[in-house]
Amino acid sequence: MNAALAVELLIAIINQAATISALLSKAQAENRDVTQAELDSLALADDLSRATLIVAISARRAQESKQA
Amino acid sequence: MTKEVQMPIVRHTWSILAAVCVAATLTVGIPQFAGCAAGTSGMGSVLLPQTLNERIAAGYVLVTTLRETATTLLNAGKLTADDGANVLQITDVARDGLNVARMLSATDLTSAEAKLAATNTVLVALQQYLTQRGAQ
Repeated sequence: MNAALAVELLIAIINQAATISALLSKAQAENRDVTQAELDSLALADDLSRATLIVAISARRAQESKQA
Repeated sequence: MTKEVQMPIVRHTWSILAAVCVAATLTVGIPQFAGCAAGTSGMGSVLLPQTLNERIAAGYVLVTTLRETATTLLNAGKLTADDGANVLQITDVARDGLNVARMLSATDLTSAEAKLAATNTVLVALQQYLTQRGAQ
């Protein structure tokens, strides 16, 4: 695997782990469950990542068409 | 010569594996991943999701992580457009599953737990697939 790619993937995964860890820490420190608003916020972040993935798929498909 | 080429690859793959273990532990609270995460990452203790809402939250984060991983692999030319489309489709199914579990949690806890468990199975399988593709 390309080293830069590996580092990029690793950072992305660690960032996501940090996101959920911070969320759980905050909720547990406040002795409460994760709220619906917090779940909405995570769902919104996922919507953004979905949109980015769709763009990447289109770009890759265009690249594959050029190569064919 | 061979060792000089292979060692960095082993290190990178190991790091990704460690991170995947951590993510899987955080997300679904799978006990067998906890030791793997602690053993490979050296990141100390991890905070496991306990309640249904916490596990749904972790599920959302894992779906996002998988989409971002697929985006990175697509941009690096490690994933074909068709593979990317498959990841999109599977993550959409998982996201829908999480939404359903969230809705059911208010009325039918058993069904919500079952839906979440089924969704997590799909997510872990997809995570392993993407890790393999990234390691190639």
